Amino acid sequence: MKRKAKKTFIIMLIFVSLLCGCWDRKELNDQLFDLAGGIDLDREKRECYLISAQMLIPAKAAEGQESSKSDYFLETSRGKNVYDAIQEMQKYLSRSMTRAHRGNLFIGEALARDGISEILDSYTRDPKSRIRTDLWIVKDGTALEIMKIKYPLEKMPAMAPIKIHQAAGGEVGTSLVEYLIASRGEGSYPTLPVVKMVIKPELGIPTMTFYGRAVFSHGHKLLGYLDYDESHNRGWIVGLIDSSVLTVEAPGPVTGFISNPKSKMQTTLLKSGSVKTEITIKGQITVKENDSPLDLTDESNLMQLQRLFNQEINKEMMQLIHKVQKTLKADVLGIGETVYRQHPHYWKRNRDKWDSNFVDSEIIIHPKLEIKRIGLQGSPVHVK
Amino acid sequence: MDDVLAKDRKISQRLAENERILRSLFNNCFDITFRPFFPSDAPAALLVYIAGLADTDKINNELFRPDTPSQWNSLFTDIHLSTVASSDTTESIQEAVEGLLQGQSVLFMEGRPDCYFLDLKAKNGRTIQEPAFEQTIRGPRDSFTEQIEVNVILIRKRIQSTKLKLEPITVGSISRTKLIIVYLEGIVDELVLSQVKERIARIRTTAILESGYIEEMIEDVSFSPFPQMQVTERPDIVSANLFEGKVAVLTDGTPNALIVPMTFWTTFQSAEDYYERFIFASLMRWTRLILFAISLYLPSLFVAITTFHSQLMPTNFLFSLTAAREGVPFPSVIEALLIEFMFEGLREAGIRLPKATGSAVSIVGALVIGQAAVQAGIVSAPMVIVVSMTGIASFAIPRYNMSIAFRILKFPMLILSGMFGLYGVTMGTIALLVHLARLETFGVPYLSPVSPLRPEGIKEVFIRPPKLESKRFRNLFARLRGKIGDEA
Repeated sequence: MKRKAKKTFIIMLIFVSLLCGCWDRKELNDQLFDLAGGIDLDREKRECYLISAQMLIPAKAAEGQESSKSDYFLETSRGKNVYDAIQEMQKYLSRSMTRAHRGNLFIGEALARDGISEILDSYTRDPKSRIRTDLWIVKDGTALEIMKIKYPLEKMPAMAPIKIHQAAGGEVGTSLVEYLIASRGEGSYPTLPVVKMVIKPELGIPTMTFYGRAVFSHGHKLLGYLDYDESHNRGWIVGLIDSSVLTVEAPGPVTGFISNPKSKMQTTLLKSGSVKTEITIKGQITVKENDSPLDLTDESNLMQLQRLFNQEINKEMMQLIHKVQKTLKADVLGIGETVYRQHPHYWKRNRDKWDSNFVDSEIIIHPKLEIKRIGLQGSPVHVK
Repeated sequence: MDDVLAKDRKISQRLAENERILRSLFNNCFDITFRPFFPSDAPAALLVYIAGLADTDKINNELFRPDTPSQWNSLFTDIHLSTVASSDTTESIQEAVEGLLQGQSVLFMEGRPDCYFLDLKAKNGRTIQEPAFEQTIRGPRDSFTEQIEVNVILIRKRIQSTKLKLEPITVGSISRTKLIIVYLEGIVDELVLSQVKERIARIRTTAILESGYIEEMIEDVSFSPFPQMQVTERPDIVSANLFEGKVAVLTDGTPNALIVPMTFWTTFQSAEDYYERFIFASLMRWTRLILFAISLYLPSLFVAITTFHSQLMPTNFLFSLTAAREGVPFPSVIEALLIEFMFEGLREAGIRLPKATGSAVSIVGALVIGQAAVQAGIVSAPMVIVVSMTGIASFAIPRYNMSIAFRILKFPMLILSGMFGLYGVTMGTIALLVHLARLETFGVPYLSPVSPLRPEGIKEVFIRPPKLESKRFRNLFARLRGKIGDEA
């Protein structure tokens, strides 16, 4: 009796698995991998999204390097929102689109100014999208323009900005996650990396470059940009970079490579009710090129150079802070977060006022860079 | 009817009567030899033996070794017989027949109600050779033969102690196969030993031709792909296991010894682990653990990930895979089953074929399956790689019977993964674990010492711990050096 029940149970179980019919099985050659996407506002009809996608052509990829034809093709479609547009695009494709490998999503500037909350919703709600995607803002252009660029080094041109960003010492695959964290974080404004199409006059062909970071408002609208150096220095303060390069006039340029960049933030509450922030900037300098007459084996020269480096970083940081405080009026340095941690009671009372408090708050930089290595030579070759 | 005839019969005092009974029992057996003797002033005698089992040369040279004709008369006295060969007597016809069948020579004498057994067995059979299946780089190169006497010697040589017990037992009503239960007194697990004895005593069968017969008849669970007894052809493995308190069963006529109980984790222990340096041995043990996982899971994981969870793959890996799969007509799971099937076929053919044609199989297999099928676009190259890796991994498991288990289990796992993806693989694994956890061999849980957890035993599972005798030698060496220093 018991055996019979067991048998029946197993047979029923097998039937259940056969009957449900909702198998997720999809062979690789029935899938189309959408490896990069672009989203723009359609200029003609304002409520319409124009999405573009770079899709891998598997057969082309198989042929390897010899193939001169491209490994991908572009497809575009329009829709009322992102998912609508994706469904529209599917109508033109013989294989089902898989967005799980989409590493990059480009957002045109016009759309970014209009607000990206709908994109964020589609991205965080639909499990078929990848959370480890890099969202990029296209400065002075549309996503479609970036998608059309043929980049020679990568199989999929749209993968290039990740690699450029990575080569420049930034973290990749995390910009969406960081955006989401920052947009929910205490007082901070979210940012996204920016890519820009450039046509170098001497080459005449379009290419793309990592431009910097875009700053967004709490309403997910584009406020403005930080350029490459500014966003790099911001990364230094926030702790996102792993190396940097700094050039000073000594006189004659001296360039140092900064390893181990670190920063420490200390906030103090002033009697006036505002917040004073002290940021200590640390790093180890390796002198990479010395075109000045300074002989670096001489300690006084070395100390002088170190002072120059510290002055330079101080200047650059103050420029960044000025821009953030006065132009963008957005706390992208994580100061609000630090105040929240260091003075939780103050924060509770003044959370809503932080945006205006930040603009007027005092921020001081304490640069503490040290020259650790002067390279293989003592005095420069041009100095006897 | 013959047995009944023999059972109650006593040996007759009349030689002719004995001869008649034996001749009727061994009717139509051409190999039985009767040699009657009629000494002048001694009673007539009859020597019976089976040609081939008894050594005819020995009989002629040692038994009939009269230096002078006068000695003929004392030829068949107790004293002379005991100098020739260890001899025993019996009064039962049945015992005499059994002795004959085992290769003893039986001597009847006129006027005596008993007969002599003369142990003049012929030593025919394979010499001791290198193990065919369990080869090691370092370690002894002898292996068991088909003769149980030789096999016993091989163990006895390694363990020269009276604690080594060898209990014979005969099984099989017609084949009368001799088994020897080997254990170390004082070390052996008494519970296991009594279980082994009891289960072997319960065997009711006509023939035992290989240790596999015994294995199936005394194992706890028959409906399991997992072996519950270790099979080995190496006497050093048997000896090592005896020291672990296990029991070995030798079967006459086969070079394979059974070792009970076998637990799951001993699968990953090779004899060589204990001969090589322990760091390397531990590393190899881990390699085997990983290869074991590969041999069971690789095809199913590959199918599950490529068809259900393509997002789990790194993007660049995906590029190569999609490119390779382009134009392949079958679903991944069918493709995997197809190649796995062909691989199993190759393996089976490789075992069956004589050595001379064996290479043809490998050429055809490598060319047809490996090369042509991929080029023709019938299967994809990554799948061939996956299946070959699985094959290689399954060869790395030191126990052949365990690697068979994984070979079998690979298929249901593959089908589950083809139907349900990683979910199916997980379900299959859970079912497998439930089965393994329920399995017991001779009262020992199959997964011990990991489950139930025995901390002192778990060390042996994942590493090969050092024997830690070296400390003593180091002290000895230091003392020696000190002495030399004093003298200088």
